[in-house]
Amino acid sequence: MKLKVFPALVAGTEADSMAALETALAGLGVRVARTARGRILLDAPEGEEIQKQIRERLGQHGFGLEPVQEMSVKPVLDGILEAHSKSRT
Amino acid sequence: MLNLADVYGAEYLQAMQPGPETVVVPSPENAFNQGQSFDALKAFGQFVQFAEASSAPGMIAAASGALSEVVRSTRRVKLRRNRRSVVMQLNEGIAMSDIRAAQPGLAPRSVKTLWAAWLRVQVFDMQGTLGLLANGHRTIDIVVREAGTNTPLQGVYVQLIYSRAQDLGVEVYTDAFGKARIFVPAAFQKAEAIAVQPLHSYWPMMQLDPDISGATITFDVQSIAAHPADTLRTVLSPGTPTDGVGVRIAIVDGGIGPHPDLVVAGGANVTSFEDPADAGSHLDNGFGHGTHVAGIVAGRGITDPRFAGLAPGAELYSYRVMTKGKRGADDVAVAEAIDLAIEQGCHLINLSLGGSSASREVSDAVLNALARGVVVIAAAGNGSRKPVEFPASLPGVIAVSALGEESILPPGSMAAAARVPPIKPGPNCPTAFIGAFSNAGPEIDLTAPGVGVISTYPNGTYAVSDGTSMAAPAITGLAARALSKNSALLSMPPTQARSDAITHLVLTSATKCGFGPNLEGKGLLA
Repeated sequence: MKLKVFPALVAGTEADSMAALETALAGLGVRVARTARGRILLDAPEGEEIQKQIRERLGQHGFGLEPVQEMSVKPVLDGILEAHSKSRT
Repeated sequence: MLNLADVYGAEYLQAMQPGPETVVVPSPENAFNQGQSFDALKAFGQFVQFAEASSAPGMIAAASGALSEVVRSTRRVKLRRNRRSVVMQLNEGIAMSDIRAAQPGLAPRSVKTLWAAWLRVQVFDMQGTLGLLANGHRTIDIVVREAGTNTPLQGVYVQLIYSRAQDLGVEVYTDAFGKARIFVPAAFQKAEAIAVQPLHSYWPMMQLDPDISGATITFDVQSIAAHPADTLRTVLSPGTPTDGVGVRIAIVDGGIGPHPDLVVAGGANVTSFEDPADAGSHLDNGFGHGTHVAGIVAGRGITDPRFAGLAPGAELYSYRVMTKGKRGADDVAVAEAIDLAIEQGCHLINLSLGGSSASREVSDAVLNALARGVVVIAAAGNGSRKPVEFPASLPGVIAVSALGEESILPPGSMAAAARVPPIKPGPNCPTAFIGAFSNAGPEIDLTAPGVGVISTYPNGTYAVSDGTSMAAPAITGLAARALSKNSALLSMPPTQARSDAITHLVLTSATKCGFGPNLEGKGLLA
C-alpha cells in the first residue's frame, strides 16, 4: 500500500532527508519515491504490523505517516444496478 | 478438490496465453467455511484467490502476515492486494523455489500458464460460487455477435451478476466463436443482470433480470458504424476546427492516445512506483478512459469526422495519474498534476475521477488553481444518486452530472439501461433523462451528455462509454469553445478573477431542463 511521509525535509537537504528515511526503513521491504514536487511516498507491504514498524521507525527520525487517498473511475454498471434495485423495492 | 478446468471448461485453459509468473495463494475463506485451519489450507493449492471476508478476520491476518514475510524476505515479489484478493507476482530474478524456501508452509503454486485465464475467470466471490458448484451446476453459453451480420465477436467482456448485494457473479471473455461459457451453480435460478462490453467499436449491452433458464443467451451487439448517433452529438452542436483555439486544457486521467484524432501538446506522467518500462509516458495506460475523455474535449475527427470533439482547436495536455491498467490514482499524483497544469499555462483542468473522502493535498491544489485563474471541472460520480464525490464537491469546482437522450440509444444497450424517470425535453433533445448512475446533490452545477457517448479509444478506434466521466469533458469542451470566442476573457491575467469570470460565463449560459437543481444544477449547456 502507498503511504505519504511528512514532512519531506527533516534534516538539511533533500538528500540528507532521503538518506535518513532509507536508513529508517532498512530491511522492511519498503520502496521510497520522491515525487517531482518533493513529496515522499512509500510503497509498503500490507499489514498492520509492518505499518506499525514503519511508523515507529520513521517517528524516531522525525517523520510522520499518513495513507494516500484513492481517487478512481468507477464503472457505471454498479450505479445502474443500484438504481434498478431501488426501483424494485 | 475443485479445479479450474472443471469449473470453466477445458477450452478456456487451452486458450490461455503465457504471462508473468504469478502465484495465487489458497483461499482462507473457503477453508474457514469448511472448518479447516489455515495450516491445512496452505497445502490446499487451489486456483482460487485469497479473499477477504469480514467473517474471518483472524484468517486474513494470518495469511497476510505470511505473505508479508515472503515479501520481506525476498524483496523481489510484488504483492498486489485488491478489495478481495491478494496475488503475488514474481519479479525477474526470483524463482518459485525462493518463495518456497522463504515460506515453506505457504505452498504457493505457479500458475504461469494460467495467468491470462486467471484474469478471465476472476469472479466477485469465487469461493461462494465454487462451493456451490461443488453441489451441481449447469452451463449457459452467452453468444455475442454483431447485429445484422451475425459475425461472432471475440474477446468481449461478459459479466453475469447473480447478486450485486452479495458480490456474486462471474466475469468471462468470449472465445473465437463469440461464446462465453458460464458454469451456473444449480442453486442459482435467477440473476440480476448480464452485461456485455466490447472494448471498442460496439455499443455495450445489458439485460436486467435476464432469463437464465435456457442453455444459450444471444446478444446482437450494435456496431458504432451501424449506429453512430449518440447523446453527445444529438444534444450539442459539433465542434469546428477553430473551436477551442488558444485554450490549453489539462486532462488529469489515465493518459491519452495514441489516436490520429488527438494531438497531445504536453503533459507528464506523475505516477509513482510504476514499472520503469511504463514510466515517463503520458500515453494511455491501457484502460482507454483518458483517451475517451480527451476525444470528447478536443478530438479532431480525422479518422471519422462524425466523432469530432467539442473544441478540436484546443491544446491538450495529458497528466497521467493512473499507473498501467489501473482505474485509480492517489491524491498525491492528482495534486501534482494540478500543480503542473497551472505551471504549464492550462486554462481548464478536467478531472473525470473522484472518491468518497476528501484529500487535503488535492483541495489545496484546486484552491491554488482557482486562485491562479484556472477553472476545474469534475465528474459528480457514478454512485446512483449518492452524494457528489470529491473533488467535484469542492466549492469552486464545476460539478457535472450525466444526461442521456432516450430516443437515440440502441434498445438493449447499457446506455438504455441507465434510463430512469423523469424524462424531460431539453434543448435539442425531446426525451432527456439523468443517468441512473449519476450522483446528485446541491453541489451539482451543470449536466451534460454522459450516457451513450462515442469518443476516441486507443489505436485509432472509437468506443461508447457512459458516466459522469464523459459529462465532465463535455463541459470542459464547451467552456473551451466559449473561452476561445471571448478574447477579453482569454487575455485576462491568471488570477481568481479570471477563473470566476470563466465559471460565471459557463454557468449563466445553461438552460434548465426541469430535473431540479440536485440533478442538473443550473441545467444544460447547448
